Amino acid sequence: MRLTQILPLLKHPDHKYIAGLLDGDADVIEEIYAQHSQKIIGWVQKNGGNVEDARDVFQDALITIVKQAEKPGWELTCPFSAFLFLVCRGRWFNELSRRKRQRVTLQDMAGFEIAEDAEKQAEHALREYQEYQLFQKAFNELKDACKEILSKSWSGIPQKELAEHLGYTYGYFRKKKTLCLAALIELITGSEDFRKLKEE
Amino acid sequence: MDQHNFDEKKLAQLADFLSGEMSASEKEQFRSELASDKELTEKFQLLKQFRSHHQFQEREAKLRKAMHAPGQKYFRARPRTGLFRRPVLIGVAALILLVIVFRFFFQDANAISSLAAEYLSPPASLSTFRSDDATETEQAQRQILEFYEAGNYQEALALMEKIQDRFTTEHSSEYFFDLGILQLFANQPTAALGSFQQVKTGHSHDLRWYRAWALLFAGEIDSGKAILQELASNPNPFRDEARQLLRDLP
Repeated sequence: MRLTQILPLLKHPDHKYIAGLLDGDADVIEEIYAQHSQKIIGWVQKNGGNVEDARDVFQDALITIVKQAEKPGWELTCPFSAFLFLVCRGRWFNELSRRKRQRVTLQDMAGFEIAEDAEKQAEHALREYQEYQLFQKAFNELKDACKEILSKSWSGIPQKELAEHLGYTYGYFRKKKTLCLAALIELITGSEDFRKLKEE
Repeated sequence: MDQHNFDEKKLAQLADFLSGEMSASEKEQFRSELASDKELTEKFQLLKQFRSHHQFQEREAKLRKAMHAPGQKYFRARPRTGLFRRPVLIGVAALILLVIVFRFFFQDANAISSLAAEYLSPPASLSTFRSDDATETEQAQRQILEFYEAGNYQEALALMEKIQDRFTTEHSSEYFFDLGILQLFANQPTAALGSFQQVKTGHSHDLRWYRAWALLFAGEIDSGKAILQELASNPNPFRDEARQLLRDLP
């Protein structure tokens, strides 16, 4: 048996949820909400939040999971419910910290066997999402011209074609793009959030 | 070449490398540079992330749209059940308020009852039957007086109410005074106040004394005290008791 044939067999049975999320499958999304929403509502309410907070945490957690899952080669190695809960817990922890609550002591959720593996996967996913948020914030701070140049240059269109489309010489376009990238790097690496993230 | 120009040049090369703008030989050379330059590798990773983050924004927007409906459906604040339903909470709050009010009221009522035991006593007899032309009502009178003297005010009151029409206008003040006394001692202070209101002649001080008690029993403490104040200020048979009572009242 080839490795490519073995690998799908090694996937966690709950990987179907990840696949469904990656595909944006409405039925899978509905199933995830139906199965886990009440537990997350109860848990968030026990930990200082309300139903609206729980809804935001749940949605952000699923986005966080998808962001991690789209990385090439990433596989779910633990039950989806445990992974989802840990990501929700991390998101809610971050939210409470953002709201500057003095003491943040979160309870675990009853009925979940949280393996070390799940903790690691959730930790990576949360970190990836924090990096993504840093990028979003910095990108939005760029000048509109930079946003356009970078957005288009990341679209896969050949650079010479893009330069022509934007009415620039290739040399000018290349220089401008480099300056925009430098500005973006500076905004990210110079931020307090980036420093904190590196220290973690 | 200064540091800034160096960075800019390397950054441009990185961008070219990532967007596939290099020839095969340039790629090969740049790969070996990447392998040996830690800072360059870090920047390379960062630029790779930028591209993936940027592309994810579109996916995120689509996903959030797809999650909107289930979010609304499954994350609605559920109506509270059992003890936490709004009507139950309102009921509990009302009950607590009622208990507080009743506690306050009964505290006063208890205090007044104990003061009544000390200061309040019924008139020696009913004035209605002190009149000389009571022959027609002789049998009823006897019964009423028996009940009254035995302290059976309810029974006396029931009979008294039956004979109202036998009293002429001339004697109605006497009748209503006695009726009020019976009502007061039968624990009907509001009715007693109504009867005392009908007394047009006589009973100057005793009417005020018993009226004050009826007001106190009816919970109109301030009005009762006002009458007691009058009694305490002027010479009358109830002055000393009124003064004492005013000191003892809550």
